[in-house]
Amino acid sequence: MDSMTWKITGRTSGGICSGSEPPDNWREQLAVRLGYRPRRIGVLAELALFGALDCLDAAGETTLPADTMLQVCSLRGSFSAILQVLEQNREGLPMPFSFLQSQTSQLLPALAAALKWQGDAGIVLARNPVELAVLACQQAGSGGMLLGWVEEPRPASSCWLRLVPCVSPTASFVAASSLMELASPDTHYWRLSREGVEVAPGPG
Amino acid sequence: MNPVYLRGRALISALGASLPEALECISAGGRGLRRIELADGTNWPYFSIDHSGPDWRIRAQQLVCAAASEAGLETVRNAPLFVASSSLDIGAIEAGLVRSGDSHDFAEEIAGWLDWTGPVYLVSSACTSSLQAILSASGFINSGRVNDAVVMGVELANRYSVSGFAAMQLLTPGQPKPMGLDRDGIALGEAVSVLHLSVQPARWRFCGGSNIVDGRDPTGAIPETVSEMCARALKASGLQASDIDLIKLQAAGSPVNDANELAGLAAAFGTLPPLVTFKAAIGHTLGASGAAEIALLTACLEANVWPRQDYLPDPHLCAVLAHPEAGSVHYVLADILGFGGGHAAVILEDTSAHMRSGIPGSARHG
Repeated sequence: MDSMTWKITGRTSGGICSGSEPPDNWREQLAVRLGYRPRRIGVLAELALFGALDCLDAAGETTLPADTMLQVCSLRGSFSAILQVLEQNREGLPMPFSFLQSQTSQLLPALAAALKWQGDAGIVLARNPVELAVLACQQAGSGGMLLGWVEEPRPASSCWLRLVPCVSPTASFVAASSLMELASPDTHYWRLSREGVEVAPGPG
Repeated sequence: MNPVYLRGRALISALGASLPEALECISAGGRGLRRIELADGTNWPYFSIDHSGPDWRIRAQQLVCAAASEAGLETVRNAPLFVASSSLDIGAIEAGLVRSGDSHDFAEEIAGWLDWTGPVYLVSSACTSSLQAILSASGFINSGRVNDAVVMGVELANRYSVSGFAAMQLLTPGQPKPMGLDRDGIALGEAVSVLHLSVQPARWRFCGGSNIVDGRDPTGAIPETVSEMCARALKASGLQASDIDLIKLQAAGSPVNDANELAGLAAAFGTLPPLVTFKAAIGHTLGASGAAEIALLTACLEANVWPRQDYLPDPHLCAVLAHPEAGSVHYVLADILGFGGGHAAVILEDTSAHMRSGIPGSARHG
């Protein structure tokens, strides 16, 4: 096994990683998947749960190994909840749950609780998704990584990839320059290089 | 694996406009609390930086540039920059300086102020942001990918954080008393802190650390997870619990969280080493707190200057805050616990200690 090569074992379905928005009934689908309707965690955390669980379903996993790294990027964060808190602040104190929902990092305990998992998780932003991929590859343990790019409406997004360390395949790797390339359905492998992250297709 | 040293540091906080000023202020007994008033007419203690600017962004720029200058970042502007912040530029939005883009714009704005040419990351995982940034930056250096990386903690004045913590009934109406007998809540504060991490040898070495998110409590610490955080940090550092000579606590003055932290540490360490906390001196500076408190911790250890504790300790916690003797500390564990179920710790080595003690090499294990 090469510690600098990873295989994509799961990704969010429905073309979400290629720019499609989640289906209109994503909240209903999430409630069915969880067996309950999530309460008071906010739309960003709900979207994160929707995409992450869909990705893990594709990977055939219900939880994560302890030494998996979970990294989430949300460029806009919980901005609608922040605006709501700022509005409440003009009148008095905000509602406690409004304040909690305005903390982007609250999606991490929501994910950890849903997966019944605890481990290395963080909200890290970079303009260039490849720089985030490099950072994740650099830090990932033997359990690999679960990476998410989540944005609240509009347009909503929740693209997740599950990657595990693997033996380097005999495939042609090319440098990735965008999330589209990192997460493309044609991309099956990542390899950390001096310049960034290279991607390769699957066999055949 | 390349080692990681603390090559430069800076802190602007309620204690002063630099680390030397902070030490001077601590020696003189610290600084009195100010208060911040909210729209509902209540006002709350707040550790603000004594610096005025024409508007929020210009003040932020002045403070960031001053901290970068104190840390001597001129020669490493092509290194990865990790901005760690919880509230970002919400103070500017409150003041009507509307954000044109997204959250990462704030990190890029900071990079622009510093003429930064290296990659820019924003870590915004609430209170543990700075320590996560340190772990990420260390990973880059450990792997040999870069020789330098910079962590900048930025938490500046805003009513959003104060009102949110007030709404959750987490703030003290008076003085924060970490580990104190009648502690009744935390006080927030401002800080701009810089840690320049480098492969170049310096007195303080980052040995390793850990970061654990536990979803069972989205707002506080869980004792078993504190223990696990310590175990993972020690393993990553190649150390044993008995090697740790000092713990820099999260302890902010919360009745429950302080007790949970101590319970977890007691389980991990058995007999606790001496403990220190800085939140009675600079407040809880949220996303900046990890970097701010490491900058202050290392400066206090070097100068043998410690914040005065002018309140009674809680005897039920069986832990006494200490003023460690200069030269008595070889390894120190610094932890930050917080919102989002975050539990993070890093371990630092004073590499000058082995010269004093005669221990060969820079680590006792591995």
